[in-house]
Amino acid sequence: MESWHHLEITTSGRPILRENEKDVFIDYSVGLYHGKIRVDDKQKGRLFLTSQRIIYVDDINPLKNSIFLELNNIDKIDYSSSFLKRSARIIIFIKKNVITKQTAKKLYNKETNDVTISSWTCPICFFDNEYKGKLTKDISLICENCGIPAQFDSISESVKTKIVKQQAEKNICPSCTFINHPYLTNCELCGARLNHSQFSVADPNTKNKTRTQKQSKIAYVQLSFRKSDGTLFYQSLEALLDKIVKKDICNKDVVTVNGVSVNDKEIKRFQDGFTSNEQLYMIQEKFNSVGISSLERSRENQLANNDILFNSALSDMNKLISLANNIERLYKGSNTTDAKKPSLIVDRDKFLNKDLFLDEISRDIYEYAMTESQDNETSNVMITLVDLYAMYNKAMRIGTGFISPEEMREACERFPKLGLNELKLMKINNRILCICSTNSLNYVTAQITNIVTKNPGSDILGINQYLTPNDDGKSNWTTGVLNEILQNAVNDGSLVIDEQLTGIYFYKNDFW
Amino acid sequence: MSLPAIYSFPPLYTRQPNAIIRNKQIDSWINILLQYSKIEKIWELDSNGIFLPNEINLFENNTINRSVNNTFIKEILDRMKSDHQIIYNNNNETNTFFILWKNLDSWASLILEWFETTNKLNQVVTFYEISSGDESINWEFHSMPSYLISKILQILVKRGRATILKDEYNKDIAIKVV
Repeated sequence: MESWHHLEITTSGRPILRENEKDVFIDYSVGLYHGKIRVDDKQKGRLFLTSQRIIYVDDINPLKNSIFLELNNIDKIDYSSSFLKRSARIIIFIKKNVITKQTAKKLYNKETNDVTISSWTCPICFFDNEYKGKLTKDISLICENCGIPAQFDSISESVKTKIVKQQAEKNICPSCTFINHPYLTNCELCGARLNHSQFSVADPNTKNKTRTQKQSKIAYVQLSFRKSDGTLFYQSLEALLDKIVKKDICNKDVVTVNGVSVNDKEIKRFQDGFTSNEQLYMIQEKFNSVGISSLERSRENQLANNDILFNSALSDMNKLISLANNIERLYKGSNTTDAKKPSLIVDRDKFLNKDLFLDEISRDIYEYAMTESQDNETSNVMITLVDLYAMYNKAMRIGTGFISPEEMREACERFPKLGLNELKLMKINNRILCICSTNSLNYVTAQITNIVTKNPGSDILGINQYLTPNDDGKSNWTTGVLNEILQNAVNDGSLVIDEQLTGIYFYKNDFW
Repeated sequence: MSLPAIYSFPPLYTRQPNAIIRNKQIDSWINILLQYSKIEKIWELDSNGIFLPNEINLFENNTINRSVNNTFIKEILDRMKSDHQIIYNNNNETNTFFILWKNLDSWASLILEWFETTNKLNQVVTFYEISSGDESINWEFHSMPSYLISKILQILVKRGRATILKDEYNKDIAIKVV
């Protein structure tokens, strides 16, 4: 299991994503195999496919048994369909060049090797070029400055060689050039994926095992799909891997250079586009006969064409809008000091059925409510469902669209089922649904009684002010919630009211 | 007289939504009214809870700027009515009540006790003597309206201890206790 890494997850059982990481697909009821051997404690969990990793989150013990696999470490993948009792599987072959720990150590020991650097002067512009290794006649030399190739004979006089003692390659971040510890897989500063570090950090459990060659021979893992057939996951994984391979290629979408075709695949796609259009045209021609039916058909064809056109236009527009939203969020986000980690984007399209979608939404809401109430030092959450609904939908979530109030409620009812025990859905005074942490109601009631005892005749505004000692004008408690709590206190007789034209004032029940 | 501390407690003047608390609140009100009328020797109040004849309104507290609204006053008075702490004064047309800080039976016993201690048994005694005579000055029922006295004395008649004498207008005027 050395290719898998331990995963950090949030309290609601969702993975914490890295910078620039996006989730692509989620599947449920997935088991893991290492080689052919079942991994016993990882047999039922959710599988997230993100733009950088495959993440397994265990259903039973998410904190301990959740792991992930870097997509960069994947050599190739294979799909085996379900057969009788055997469920569908994706076989993932791990790259052979995954460096073991010993070699990593060598790297870390700052082993130095000598590098010869030759320098030559360009006969045209007299720029001093450098070249790694020794210069020979066979090497074609091009000046870095003026770009004119030089003959070896004309520069042989100016060639100097020097031997530089160079340190072993370090773990340099490709985007910010920070030199990381060689064990790190992601940059410490900017979080970008490090190209260099392709070795894995061993699982503490397997640390004592000797790392023999034999073990690394079974360099594949299997993902077993218990409920779905896994094809969707396979397809998206394949597409993603393809994308990753292409990512580093410069001019990847270039079709021809100087009229010579370079990218077969692109050309093919290009041609496919043409032929499919042609086919459509052909069909249209074919029905160009006589009668009403032909008219109808041509009309249908026209509609279909329009549909295609509109679809592409709409998807373009959607992209544009999401881009605009992104920029807007970036702009807003730049004002706040604390950078937020990218959160999983819950997208309806990614879910096989509504049940799974609600499960995911439930986790998302839970997480949202928890983070929203983080600055509240007592960490007592209490918010009406209506307020939470508004806040949740207002928080920019690209790709999700809005959820409906029913979905919100159903999702909140799922908290106990998903093992999210910090928050629960509570009905106060038999009418208002609140999301609150377990003892918050008692806590707030005690607080309010306290305030009212100290300041008899407080109205709801005054109570709210006392509840939030810092005078930034912002309150952690919504008036709706306070109102319900006060109502509750009045109903059980601990508070009494004094109703005036100016409002309702609350007193502690000292007399009755 | 000095009113109890609760009299300056603002929530007393608002009808409490909680039924249990409200019952206690009404009890507090009744208590205040009875205590006040007992000390100030007030016998009558009108349908709005204002004490007659001096029109003292306990339901309005000017020191804390609070007053009880009419519907709640009605509720309090209804409760007193059902507990026989006030009874209709059907002597005249105006809709007023007698307030009884003692119930009718206790009043009857008290008057009987007065008859016995002052040796008025087997004599004809007018209602005026009972309510305003010199011999009843230190008794609680002194200054009681004569209509209320006749009502109380009806109880003695029922017990067979007394007979009521009427004047020429067929109005109860005097009593003879045996």
